[in-house]
Amino acid sequence: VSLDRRELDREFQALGRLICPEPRQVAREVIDKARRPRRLKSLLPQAQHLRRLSPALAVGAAVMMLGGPLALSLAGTGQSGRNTVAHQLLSPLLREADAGNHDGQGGDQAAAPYLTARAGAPGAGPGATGAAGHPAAAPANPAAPGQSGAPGAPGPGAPTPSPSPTTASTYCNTTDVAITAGTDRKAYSGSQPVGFAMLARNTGRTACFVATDECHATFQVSDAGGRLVFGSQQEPVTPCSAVLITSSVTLDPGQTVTVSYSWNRTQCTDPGQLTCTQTSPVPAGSYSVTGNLSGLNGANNGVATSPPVRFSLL
Amino acid sequence: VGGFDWVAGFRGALAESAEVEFEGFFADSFQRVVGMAAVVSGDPGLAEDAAQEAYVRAFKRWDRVRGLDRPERWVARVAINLVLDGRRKTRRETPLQPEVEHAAHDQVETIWVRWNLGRLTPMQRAAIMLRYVDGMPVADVAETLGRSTDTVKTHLRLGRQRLRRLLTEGIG
Repeated sequence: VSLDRRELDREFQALGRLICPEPRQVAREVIDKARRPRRLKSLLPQAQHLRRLSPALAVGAAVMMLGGPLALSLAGTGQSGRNTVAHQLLSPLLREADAGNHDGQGGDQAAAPYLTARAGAPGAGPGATGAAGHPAAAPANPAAPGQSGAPGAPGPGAPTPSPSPTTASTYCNTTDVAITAGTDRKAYSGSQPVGFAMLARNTGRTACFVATDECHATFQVSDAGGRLVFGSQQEPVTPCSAVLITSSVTLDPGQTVTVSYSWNRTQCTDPGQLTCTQTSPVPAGSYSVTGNLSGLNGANNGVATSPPVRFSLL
Repeated sequence: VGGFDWVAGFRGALAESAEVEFEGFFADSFQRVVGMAAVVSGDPGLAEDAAQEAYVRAFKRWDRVRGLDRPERWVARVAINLVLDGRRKTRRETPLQPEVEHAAHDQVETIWVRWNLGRLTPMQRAAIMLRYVDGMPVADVAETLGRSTDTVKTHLRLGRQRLRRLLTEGIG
């Protein structure tokens, strides 16, 4: 008797056939599972810990944990004091913790560097969502003041959300996602970076996913003549993958997610490449930005785009 | 910037072709991986969980994993590590049918008896499987199992001692 490698392999195969007679069916389940959204698992322990702190300490800790600019902007909105701020900042995380969403998936995924917000409640502005800010600069106000359709404005007749987190089974359809883009100023002087944000709302009747990583939630800037001068998907050092969705969120009907980005006013000078390796500053002038979500289901190659928002570089 | 349009336009097609490729890889290799994980752990349900999780991780990194010489080895390593961790999710999405689980358990015991593997610890079984069945160098086995090379050599030596009546010279 010997430990025959091939014979033992055959035993493995036979055992595997018994456990999983239809591997192709399971393959689909595995792919779907891999594409499910992150559950903010890495932040849950911190959020649970913060709940035990006093409200004042919780605000300070939240500022450090979730990124200064956004947390401070919340504090600046004057929404009835620190308790409200702390509650708004932490409630999405705590709600998930309470719901026990530990599916064991996605814990090893790297967070998208500029994903700034978890889905918010219907009608809630971007400031009311939990956030993990871009270390460079997360725009404090995703929409320029006075713009129509500013992010955060509750849509009339928005559906009532389910009170508990919902498990979606599919990516949103392009017809069920309304995107509004915004800038943190109307005009930028000198070398001021430009803060972009987009707010995506699930206008459908069922919960669904949207991908929020840097390859699927993107901003595109065009000049006054409509020529595309910048696309944020060229920014990552690692070339964007159409396949790998590294970060996504579930949106219940009416819920929103905000994604922001800080543009350093450069354009790519090696067009046609997946990753930008050479840049040059763009000239002063009038520009417009659109927010785009790809990887969706439905028409337009699964891409939903916001109306353009104009801004000026002085 | 000329690159943007075609990148956006072909994304759907790229994603679809990668899925088809991954499905083929899964269909070709999953049964062997889950079988090996079941023999290591002695628990077919845990093995299926671990193997599925390993393939989920592979799909998330498919751009990289597909380029490996033997992607199925990468998945087997992850699956075996997971069964050694012994973590089993409390909520399973597609639990094994009880009769399947019982039959698979019987099959595992048959294999253990036939190959005298039941007397080994899970770590020794894992070391033996990776080294002698998968043909992995000792250093790679050590890295896979998160143990030092000396520790793995010890596991292999103890495993071989228990198996010595069954092993041929060729694989020792």
